Amino acid sequence: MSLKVSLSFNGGMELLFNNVKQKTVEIPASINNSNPTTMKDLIRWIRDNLLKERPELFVSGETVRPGILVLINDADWELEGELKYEIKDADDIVFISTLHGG
Amino acid sequence: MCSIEEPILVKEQAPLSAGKKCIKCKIAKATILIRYSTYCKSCFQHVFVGKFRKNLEKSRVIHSAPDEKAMVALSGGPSSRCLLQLLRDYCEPLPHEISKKSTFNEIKICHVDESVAIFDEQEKEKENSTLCKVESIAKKYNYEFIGLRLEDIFSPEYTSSGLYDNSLLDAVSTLTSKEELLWHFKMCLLMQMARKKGCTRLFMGDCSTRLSIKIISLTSKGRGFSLPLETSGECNLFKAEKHYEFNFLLCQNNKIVNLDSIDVIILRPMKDMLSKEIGIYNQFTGLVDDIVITPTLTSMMSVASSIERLTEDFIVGLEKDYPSTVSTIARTGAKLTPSNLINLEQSCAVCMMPYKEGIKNWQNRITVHMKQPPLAPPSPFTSPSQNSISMDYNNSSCQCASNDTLCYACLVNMRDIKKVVEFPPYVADAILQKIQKATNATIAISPTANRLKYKFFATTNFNNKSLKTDYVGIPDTISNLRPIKYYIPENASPEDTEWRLHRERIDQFNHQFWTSNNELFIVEKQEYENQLKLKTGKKPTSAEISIFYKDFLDKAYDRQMAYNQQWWKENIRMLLPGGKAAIRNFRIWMPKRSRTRISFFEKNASS
Repeated sequence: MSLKVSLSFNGGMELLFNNVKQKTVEIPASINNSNPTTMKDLIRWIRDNLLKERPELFVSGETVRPGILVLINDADWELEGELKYEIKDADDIVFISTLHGG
Repeated sequence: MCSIEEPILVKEQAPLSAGKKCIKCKIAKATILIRYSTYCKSCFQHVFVGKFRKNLEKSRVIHSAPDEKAMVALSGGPSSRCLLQLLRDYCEPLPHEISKKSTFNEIKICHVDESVAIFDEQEKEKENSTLCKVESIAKKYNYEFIGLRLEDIFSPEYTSSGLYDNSLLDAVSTLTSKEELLWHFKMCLLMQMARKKGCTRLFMGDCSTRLSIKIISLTSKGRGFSLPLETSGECNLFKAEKHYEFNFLLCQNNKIVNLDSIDVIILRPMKDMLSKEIGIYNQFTGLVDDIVITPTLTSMMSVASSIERLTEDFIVGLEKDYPSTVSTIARTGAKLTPSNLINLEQSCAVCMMPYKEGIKNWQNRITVHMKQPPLAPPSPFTSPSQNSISMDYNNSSCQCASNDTLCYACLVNMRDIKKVVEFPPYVADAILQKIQKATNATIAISPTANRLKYKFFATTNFNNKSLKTDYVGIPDTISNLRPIKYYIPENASPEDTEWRLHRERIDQFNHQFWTSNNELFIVEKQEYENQLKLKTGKKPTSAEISIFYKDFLDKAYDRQMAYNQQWWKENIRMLLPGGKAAIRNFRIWMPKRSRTRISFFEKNASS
């Protein structure tokens, strides 16, 4: 089974993804053994599959770099459990860079 | 606003707050977390716009003259893009809010395209120029758009031809100084354009995240003195007519300002918004698709590539775990007021900011390893090459130097300029004005003299006799050797003089060799890089450059060998006068030593 997730990269993030602003991707419903796919898995998946250059400008450890906003269905991911958020089908996830450099 | 009563959200507890309600309407589910406050989508937008309006209305300058023109500095980035939209909404009220009067007579949009400084020749041709992109945004508004390019700072005649040599910025060896210079040029362009168009208000999009980064980075760059002016929400520094005689007034919230004396006031109405708020607001209002991403000098660079970049990383990283970092810094910074010592007549020729007087003395006091000649501090500027005024200039050059033309931070930046470079005419104007003021003489400036060449030099001509000890100067910009001025004792023996002259001769020899060698190196490296750029179209990598280093060293083998042999010879030759000097010193020292020894024995015997 797989999940269809719509990803958007804004505010300069698209530069890291070959100037692609929007992308709908299909990811497995459980990347990590039998556990449901979480934001943590998604970020690692993006880094490994979509990122074109400079991974350190996108990720920092397991999470995204400070200064990158993440909205899940128009809601701040900090209120949705951040990395522990379990991704559902047809989720709309937006990454916005608020930084100048990078 | 105050978050003391609210429970502090620790990262692990975040999921618990998932079911929280918006603190504003207390009905809808909270979806946005700003610092410790939770909002729903509609309340967030309401609060955000309200904050902007409150900021504008708080400042008396907005209301004092209803028929004034304003200019918005639009980089196209999230913050200034948002500012433009909010300002339009504010100034053009919807029909049901008709009771509100329109505040500005006219609004203009100004953009400075920096791509010339950031991209290479070939890349420039592509769609990298931000000017067109920003213009298309501006067209959606009914405002006049003024597009400038960074190269306009040199002369208006360069606008159409696009001719611009990047020599000035290329000559700057550190990104920190480059960013600084770029910023000053941009500010100068914006101010000049605002004046030209008769705008009395200049809106800048600095948000609180940016301001707190600026507060920290400007402090570390040595700009503490002018910091309150550069980061305040309202700053009136520039006075009309006499551009270089600044009359400054920091508009306090409740103080009525005499508007006759005001030229351009810089306003930063976004100063209370976090970049996160702006990002979310842009996302919700669809502005996010209308943003021009302007790469900066440090884009895609490592974190430590410049002070500004490093500070950004530090503050933003800290903000993630401690969400009050930015607001604490910004609010503390907002409390700063300019020092009483600020001299309104004195301002730096490059950054146009007032500076503390006697920087040289202060610098000498705090610098450990660098001894500056006390009589004639090295001025970064020599006389211009223009014959018509060089005579006047020579007369007054020492005064110009002692009056100081640059602020401390700009002086520090100048150390990173390794070549003789040309500065934009506004710098020349400012310096000439200073000289005129200092000498009370009028220097006839021909229109062509506007493009004066200013040269940088590190050593100064001064009299050795005034020295009390050996002086070591700042390293030469090309040879990288520190000039030494030897102390001449009053009763110098012929041997002493011979010894000193010999050392001076050798210093000169070393200096000449390394100057010609380094000049050659710079020129050849530039050529090599240009060739590679033509071939590959990219900036050469360090691996490719290392090939050049090897070639250069191979080619320079004979020259280097000849130098080494000469240097060894000179070293051996120096043994004799050096030995003589040592013997002489020994003779002077011996009698003293024997005397002390006798007294020591006598003392011993007596005890």
